[in-house]
Amino acid sequence: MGLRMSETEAINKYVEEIYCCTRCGTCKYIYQVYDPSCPAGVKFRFETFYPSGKIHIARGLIEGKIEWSERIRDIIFACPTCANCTIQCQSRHHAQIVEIIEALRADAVSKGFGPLPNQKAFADSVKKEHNPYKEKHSDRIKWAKNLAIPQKDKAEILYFVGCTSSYRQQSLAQKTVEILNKLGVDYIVSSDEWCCGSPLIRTGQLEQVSQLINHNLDLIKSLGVKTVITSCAGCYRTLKMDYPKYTDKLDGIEFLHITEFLQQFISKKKLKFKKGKEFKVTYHDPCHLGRHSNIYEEPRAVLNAIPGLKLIEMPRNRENAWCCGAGGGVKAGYKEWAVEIASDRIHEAEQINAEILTSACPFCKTNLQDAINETNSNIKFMDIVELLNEVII
Amino acid sequence: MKKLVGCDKLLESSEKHDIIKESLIKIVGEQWYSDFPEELLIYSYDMTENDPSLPEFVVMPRTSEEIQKILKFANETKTPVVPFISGNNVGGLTIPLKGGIVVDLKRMDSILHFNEDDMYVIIEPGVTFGHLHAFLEKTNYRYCYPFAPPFTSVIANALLDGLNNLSLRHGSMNEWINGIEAILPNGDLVKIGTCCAWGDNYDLWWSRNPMPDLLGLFTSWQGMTGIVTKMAVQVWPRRPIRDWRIVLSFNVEETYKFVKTLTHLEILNDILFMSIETVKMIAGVPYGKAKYLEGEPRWVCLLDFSANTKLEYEAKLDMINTAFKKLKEVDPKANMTNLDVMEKFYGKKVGDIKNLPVTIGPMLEYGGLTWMGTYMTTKTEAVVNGIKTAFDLIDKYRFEKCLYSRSMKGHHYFAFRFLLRFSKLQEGETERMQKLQEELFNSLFELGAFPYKTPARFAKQILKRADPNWVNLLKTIKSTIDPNGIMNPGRWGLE
Ligand SMILES: Cc1cc2nc3c(=O)[nH]c(=O)nc-3n(C[C@H](O)[C@H](O)[C@H](O)COP(=O)(O)OP(=O)(O)OC[C@H]3O[C@@H](n4cnc5c(N)ncnc54)[C@H](O)[C@@H]3O)c2cc1C
Ligand code: SF4
Ligand code: SF4
Repeated sequence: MGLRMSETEAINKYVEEIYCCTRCGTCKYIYQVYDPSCPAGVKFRFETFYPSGKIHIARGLIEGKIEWSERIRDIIFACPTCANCTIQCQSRHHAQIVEIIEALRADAVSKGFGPLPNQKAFADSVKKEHNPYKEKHSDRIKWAKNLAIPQKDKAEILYFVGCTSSYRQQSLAQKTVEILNKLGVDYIVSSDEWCCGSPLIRTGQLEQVSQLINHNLDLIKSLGVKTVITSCAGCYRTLKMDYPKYTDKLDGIEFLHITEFLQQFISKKKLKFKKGKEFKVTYHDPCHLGRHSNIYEEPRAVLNAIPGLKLIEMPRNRENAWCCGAGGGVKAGYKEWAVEIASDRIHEAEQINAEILTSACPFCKTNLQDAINETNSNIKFMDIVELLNEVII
Repeated sequence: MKKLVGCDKLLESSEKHDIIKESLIKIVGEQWYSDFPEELLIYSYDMTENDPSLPEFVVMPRTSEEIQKILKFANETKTPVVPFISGNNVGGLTIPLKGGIVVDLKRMDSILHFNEDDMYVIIEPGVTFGHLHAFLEKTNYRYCYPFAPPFTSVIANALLDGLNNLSLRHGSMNEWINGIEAILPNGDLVKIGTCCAWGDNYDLWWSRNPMPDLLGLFTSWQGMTGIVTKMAVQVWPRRPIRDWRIVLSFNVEETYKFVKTLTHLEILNDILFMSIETVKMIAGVPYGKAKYLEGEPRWVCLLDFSANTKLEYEAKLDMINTAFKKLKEVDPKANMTNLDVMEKFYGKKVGDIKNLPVTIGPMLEYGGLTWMGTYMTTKTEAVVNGIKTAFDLIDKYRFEKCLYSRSMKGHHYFAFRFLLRFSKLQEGETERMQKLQEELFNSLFELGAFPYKTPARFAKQILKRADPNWVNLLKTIKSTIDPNGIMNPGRWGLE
């Protein structure tokens, strides 16, 4: 057959997995439920945009039957890396599908075909200001101006805020520290936190990643931190799942999403709630928290603990949740389509008559809120920390 | 639209390409057209050992009108057309042997009508088994499901004479087609069945008789006579009680006689006759390791039956028990059990058999899957000989002996099939599989086994051996309907 395998190409690590795919099509829909699962496929419909298509593009490249092109770039970056395919595919390579897509992206970047122009701007900004938003590093904790954040050199718990909550969805950062303060948690926030690396890893721009990781790890260690908590699903996925691939210096450090952290307080009945009237809430599982990190029940435990809150589920929930559309660089690369994907989700939440749509990620918040505005929906979006902070004493 | 009639020789190929491109975009819109190499590559091969061949264009129409325009244009320009839905036919049937336009019908995915009184559903080609199943779950009716992944097309499989878990009762899938709407190669739209009289009224697609049955112009033609755009398929009442029994046995001849006995009782929905290797494969035993071990049962029969009342259920079970006792007299170590026990022994996956449509992951995860799938005589001698012959050949080529067979239409004929996994990554395996398939075809054909979903290379050989008058009739029909030979050219050995 004569495979064209150069060691420098990231996809070659996945040859076995790539040859597992027979294009059976199972990944296109939720297994045995038959609702659509793949936002990219639903939008573009050509085989190449479905998970299997991307896998077969990788195979075509390995076999030397196709050459890198802008079309390939557009296809492989038109994917929010929601990982729904990793759940629906019944073949033995299922868990590696997103890794294959990310490897293709890394190869696209190294061959000069990727990323998309707006995604490239992340890397330039991270290099300069350690965040992808072209904001000043010195403004990183400007969001905390009027808040009482513990001022100390060391603590066992670090609240890793993440770039999106630091610069764009600051309310998430603010409400998180308010909750931590109400609970009397001994924690610290650092003004020298750098981008976790997520936007770069997801878009195949790996050049700076080790540097970011080393910086953040040195910071964590210098602060004497044992537990890192984050309210961002993207940071959480990166810290917990990607960092171990780059370094073996993580021993002794625990990474927790804020909902995991809060659940410990709930099970010990340490949260004090205001009396509340009944309201209907539905929870959108962020892909990075749910399918990527297997955290489904903790956020629901937090919500179910709130008096008066009636948690109702959308038809596609937990591992089958429809993506919000913002991940994998799609929000930057395919702005309108990202909102289209989120609009589907808003529609789903409306159909079950939810009053509030909640989630646990600043990125989901941005895109779902954009879709609410775009579709003139009456549904209200609140992140889980915003919701919780309002009802606890 | 520029005309290109008969101009292939006059125009440079790139000029012709541009004209075709421009015309196709006019018909379906830019969004649903592609000639990018990566898209073309995907349509150039499938999971089987059949050689690849590239198309030149892919379009994804949404309506019958668009298909009419595509075919009319292709006919005028003598451009090959290959209908495609998911390419899971396991016969290389959507590989564009002569290039041309792949018409991907996935976007035509509506369930158009459900007539509960006459018990049929009208569907478009992109409707999959999974979607039809989900639709019918909300009713008291059921369709039938093959062993195929859920997202394969119902229409394509019905047109291909597919087999499934109601084939013992009703025969191959073409037999429960009530009628179709199809587009002929010249762009004409035809309706076959009672819908020829009342086509616009979806409530009157109730049968394809009494009238000359023209459905045969489309079934098992592998997309060589036109594109079917609508089909009415029969559904049946779902019975409240359903159960399964598994029989594990040792003696091939006696087991097959047991199958025959049961079919003659007319009490089962389905009966599968498998080798132990097939069960191991379904259970998840990795490729190359699904082997028979000395001392274990050699054959496995799956009996699927249902009933309206407990009394009916018990009566059926009683008849099954009696038949099994007879088997035990001649095959003393044979055992009958239920699926729960099999699941405990071989793992949860085995239970998938009762939840069709499902994806049997272990069957599909080595890049290569093919079969020698045939319909054959039910004669005991032929079946037993066929198994022995096939097993010897499969052994010779070092693949797995996965027999998966079933009685068709009350045991009037037999679906005789060997599922063959292979690795497309392993150097030389595809070629080894091609050789095995060649030998299997030659040997089994001699025993009265006729390959279904017939790959082009076997079809060619069949034409050489078949009655010349049949071959002439076939050619006459094809050239009358498709004088320019645009539809899926190269299939059935007809150029
Ligand atoms: C693991 C596995 C197990 C399987 N088990 C079974 C089984 O037990 N029983 C069984 O019967 N099948 C089985 N199959 C085969 C498969 O399910 C069917 O052949 C399939 O349903 C065909 O659908 P498709 O979408 O793949 O069609 P395609 O492969 O896309 O098309 C099949 C053929 O039909 C033609 N065609 C498609 N659409 C039209 C149209 N609208 N008008 C005219 N021609 C058209 C194509 O040109 C091609 O020749 C199995 C397949 C797999 C992969
Ligand atoms: S990725 Fe998995 S589910 Fe999708 S086509 Fe390939 S094998 Fe099938
Ligand atoms: S990650 Fe999501 S969008 Fe991307 S291919 Fe998989 S299912 Fe589709």
